[in-house]
Amino acid sequence: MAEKRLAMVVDTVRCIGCSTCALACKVENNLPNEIWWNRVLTVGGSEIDTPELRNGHLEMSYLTLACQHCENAPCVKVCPVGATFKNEDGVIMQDYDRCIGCRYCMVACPYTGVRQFNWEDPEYDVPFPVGGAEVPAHQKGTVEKCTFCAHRLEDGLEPACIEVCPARARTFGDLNDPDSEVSEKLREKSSVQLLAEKGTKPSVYFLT
Amino acid sequence: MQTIDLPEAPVVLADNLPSLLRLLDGAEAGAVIVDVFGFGQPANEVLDAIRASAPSCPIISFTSSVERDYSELLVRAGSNAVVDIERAPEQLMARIQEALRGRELKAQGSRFLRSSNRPSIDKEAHNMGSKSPSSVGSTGLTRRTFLKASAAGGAGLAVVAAVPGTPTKVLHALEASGAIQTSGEELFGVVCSPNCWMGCRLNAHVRDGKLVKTSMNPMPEAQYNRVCLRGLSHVQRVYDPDRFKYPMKRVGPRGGGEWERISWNEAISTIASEIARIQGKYGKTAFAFAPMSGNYGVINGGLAGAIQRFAGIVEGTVVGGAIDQAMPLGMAQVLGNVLNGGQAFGLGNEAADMQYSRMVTVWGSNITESQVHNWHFISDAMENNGAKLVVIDPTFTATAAKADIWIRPRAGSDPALALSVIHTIIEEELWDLDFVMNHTVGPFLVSSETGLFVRENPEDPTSRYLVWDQSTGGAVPFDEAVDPALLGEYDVAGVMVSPAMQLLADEAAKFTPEEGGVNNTDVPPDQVREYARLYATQKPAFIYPGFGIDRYTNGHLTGRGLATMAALTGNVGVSGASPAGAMGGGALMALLDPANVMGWLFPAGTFYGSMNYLLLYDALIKGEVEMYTPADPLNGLAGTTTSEPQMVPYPIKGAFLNTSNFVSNFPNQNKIEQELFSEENLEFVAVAEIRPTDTTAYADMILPITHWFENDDIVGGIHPFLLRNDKALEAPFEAKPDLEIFRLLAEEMGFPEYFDKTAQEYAEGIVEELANNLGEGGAAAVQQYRDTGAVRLFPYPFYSFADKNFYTSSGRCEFYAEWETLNHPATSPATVLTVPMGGNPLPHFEPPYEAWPDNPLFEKYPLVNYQEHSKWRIHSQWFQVPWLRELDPEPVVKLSPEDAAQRGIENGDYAEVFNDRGQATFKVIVSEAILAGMCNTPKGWQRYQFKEGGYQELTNDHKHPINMNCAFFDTLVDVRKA
Repeated sequence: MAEKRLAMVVDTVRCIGCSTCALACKVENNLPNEIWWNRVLTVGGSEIDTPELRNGHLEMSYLTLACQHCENAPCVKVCPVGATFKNEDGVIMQDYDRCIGCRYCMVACPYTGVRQFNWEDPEYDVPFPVGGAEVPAHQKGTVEKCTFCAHRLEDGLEPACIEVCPARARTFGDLNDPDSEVSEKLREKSSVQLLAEKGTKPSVYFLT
Repeated sequence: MQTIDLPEAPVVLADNLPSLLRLLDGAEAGAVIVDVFGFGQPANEVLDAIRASAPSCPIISFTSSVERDYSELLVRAGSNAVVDIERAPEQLMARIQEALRGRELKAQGSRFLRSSNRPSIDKEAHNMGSKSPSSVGSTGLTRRTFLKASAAGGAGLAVVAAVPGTPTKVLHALEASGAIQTSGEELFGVVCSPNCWMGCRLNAHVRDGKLVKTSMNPMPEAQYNRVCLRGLSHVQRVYDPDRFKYPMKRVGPRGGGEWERISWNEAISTIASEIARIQGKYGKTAFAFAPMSGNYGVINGGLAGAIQRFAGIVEGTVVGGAIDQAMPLGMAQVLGNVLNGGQAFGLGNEAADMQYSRMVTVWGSNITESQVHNWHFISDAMENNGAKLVVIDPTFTATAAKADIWIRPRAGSDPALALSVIHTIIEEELWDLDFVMNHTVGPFLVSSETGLFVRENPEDPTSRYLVWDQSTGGAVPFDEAVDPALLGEYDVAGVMVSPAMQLLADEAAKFTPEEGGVNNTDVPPDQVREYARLYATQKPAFIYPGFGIDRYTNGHLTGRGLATMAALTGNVGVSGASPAGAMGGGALMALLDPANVMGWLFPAGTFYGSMNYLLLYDALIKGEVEMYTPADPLNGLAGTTTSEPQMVPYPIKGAFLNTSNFVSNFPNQNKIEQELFSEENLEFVAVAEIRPTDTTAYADMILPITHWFENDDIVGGIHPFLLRNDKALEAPFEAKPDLEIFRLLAEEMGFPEYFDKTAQEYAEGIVEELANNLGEGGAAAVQQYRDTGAVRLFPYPFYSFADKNFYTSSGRCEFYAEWETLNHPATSPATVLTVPMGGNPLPHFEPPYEAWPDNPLFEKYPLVNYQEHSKWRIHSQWFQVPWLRELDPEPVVKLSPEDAAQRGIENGDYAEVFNDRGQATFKVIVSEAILAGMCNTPKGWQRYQFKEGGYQELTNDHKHPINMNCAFFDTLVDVRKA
């Protein structure tokens, strides 16, 4: 079977920064308190949902930011124990059992904040695990991040943040398939990638 | 080297690749456009070379062929966009704009990522020495070491020898081998039912009897599929540790916070005896049933729910209306009362129709936060139809950020702005002549003496309307005229008359964009004219009004203005054009008219009295209200019994509330707590609620109710489907659905036969009744409901007035009317009353009652306070959900930089917002989005969440004699550092 190159495409023209994708991820992955794998950043003023005044015009847009699942991932290179690795579909995975909590991956990753660390025992406001049944348990002393919902990909489902988007701004699929929605969107519209000059070759594209 | 000037940026041309690369080395380019096959080198080498010189510059590649394979190749090789050279005229500018926008996005993103506080890394550096990597986990035992041990010992537990990255594969294999069991997950079809009206169909995922998540459950039509951040967070609402478990009664004074647990038996018998006592002492209508909008499940909810059914049997009073009623009232004035005098919410098109529009005006709504699921239809229209989006709002909201044109009027000036637009349409003759002549009262002659239309037979008010025929120079019946006049003044039998259009033109002339317009709205005249021309000519054009404009006392006049704009331009009754928003064809609309569900609502043939929520203030405090009495309680169009409102004794001494957070969501909170809910004024109040709120704090009795997923129901929203909600979870402790509470009360009070069916039996009856009343087969609808859990009440696509029959006395759009719609005593069942026109029958301007610079109070309180409906809550629901509080932790006040600086307040400070009615303390966000002179305190926080006070202390309960509607934004305040 041909190798997949999984990618996510986010349409920033349609995105309204509603945080539905962030909540979907939070619940699906049973994230501990204060841990967010997908964050909505306001591109504008210094506070959430505030614009910037530029050349007499107000501007505001949103960037949803999670692990970029880089083809040329710096985190994979620096992990001393192989806890961070790329699977056969190009998804950067994190094995909590191998992770020794050295956080070199967090230093190496230029996408500040997409990797989160459990300094203490994970705490939850709900007294039982929520979200997907097959989500690995969170562990104190390990790094965690977006997995493109690998547990859902196993079942032929898309990541939890994709279908929920009220703006229909998020697409996911295989770039090696020219008929996939992601391939189509990248052909039809302009796109950019974050910190492209660093050579990380992210798997996330933002349509403009 | 050649330079061309584009509106976006100067363009420098390079002749060959080396000179291009030199250019890029030397200076920063916004974008590179390259004929990538024109250099005699492989395209990917060209792209590599460009990337090496300018790593983050967007590249637009030209191809000379439309073959998809080349586009694909070029994107993979590093192009950000590909343009077919033959289609460059259409595509290139858009691609350049996108590239520049993309560059901005990347730059901002990079800036953020580089400068972002990296607390974990700092903490990292600090702890590097003190923490040893081997001490992870509380016991020092990792899962791996445990597994090794148990495998050796043959423990037979759930052993997962984790192959990195694929624990689930191994888990599946173990499951298949029977070595382990995982509990199954059951899915239930439920509906999220709050007052966003989006009616999202969801799956409740249940494991071991517990809700573990919700997900989107497909609607019958994929374009209506929906879920939002709030709908995804239900787990934390179901398992809210503060949920009420048992009925409770107050001990000590009301509002004192002391409670005692009681049994349901005691609760029911107390309520029943209080109803009997109060009705016996003060009259049947003295006991009020006061639902609101907290639950749009039809059975358990507050709109045509079990509470109204019960109220009609005991002939109490149902309190309603007074919120969201001004703007629709004005629209109904022009387009006609629909659904037997029902609100005008349903006078637009169904939401999905917006995707076919070419010009969408969002006026007074922040839909990307408050009605999220209507956004994608607009986005589709912009992408696929080249539709333009105009947003009209004093605040630069997230919706405004998407607009092609953002118009920023002064708070409360919207009727004047609408008149400026109307003036432009008339002055520049941008009207749709055919529509105006045939479907509006434009040509109908009006007598300057009586203010009424001139009829063929002056004695007979049903005889034909007269127009001035320019071809004959005389007044003739409208259907005999060859060339009716729209303007001018004429003499008919010695009386001066004018076509209604002339009167509209005269009124609008007071608000030319250049004078009356800008003087009142602060909107630049050029912008008004540009917008008016766009609205009138880029058809079909859709008006999407929000309730932002409804929250000033002149909201009904804005409604009249908007409906008039649509009538003048013929943007009515066709796909992509709506005069009145995107709620047409909504299942909810059908339920707003009691006549559609008489069997469910009035099974005993007896009825409840109706009272408007603002009149309730007087009823509780004074025991008398000034109100009209409808001639026919079930038909508002039948008029009133008197020509002026009368002072009527109307004590309210007892109340039962459900689906309501009255004390938090109605204006003038101090007055509510101290006067309305004083033990002397209100002798008994019971509240059915799920967790503590500002309202339960003032109850005598609290009844614990179920979450929506813990009972059966049928839910309608402003999409076209009625949806079945299946009970997914057991009710915790002693919580009960509202239907069950009324069943117990009915048994106690001797009429159990009216509440002896299940929720779904009643639901099916309602489906049948509704479908029959709306013309679709009732039995078929019930079968569809049973089979699929969904019924579409109106066929797709629904747009109001497709047949151009307006529900006015003339059958035409009446921007000039002989009668006026009013909103009291209530909004249901006599939803709107009609009285002979007493005031100005045209769209006109009156300033807001409080929030206008002319008000002397302005000297003391110079800021207009409004309470945005943000994405973190729906009104006062979701205020306690911890996941959402992580992102939006506490009450804030948003101020403009000017107002903050003037008061020595900085971003992050705490500030007191105050006026003569009250005060509250908030965290400050300084935002360029806020117009100087306004301050935004987002809605929904409860008093216990404030350091001091509460935001609803600030608002006023003024009663406007026509719209009788709470004007929450019509509030003047000042702010000082706390």
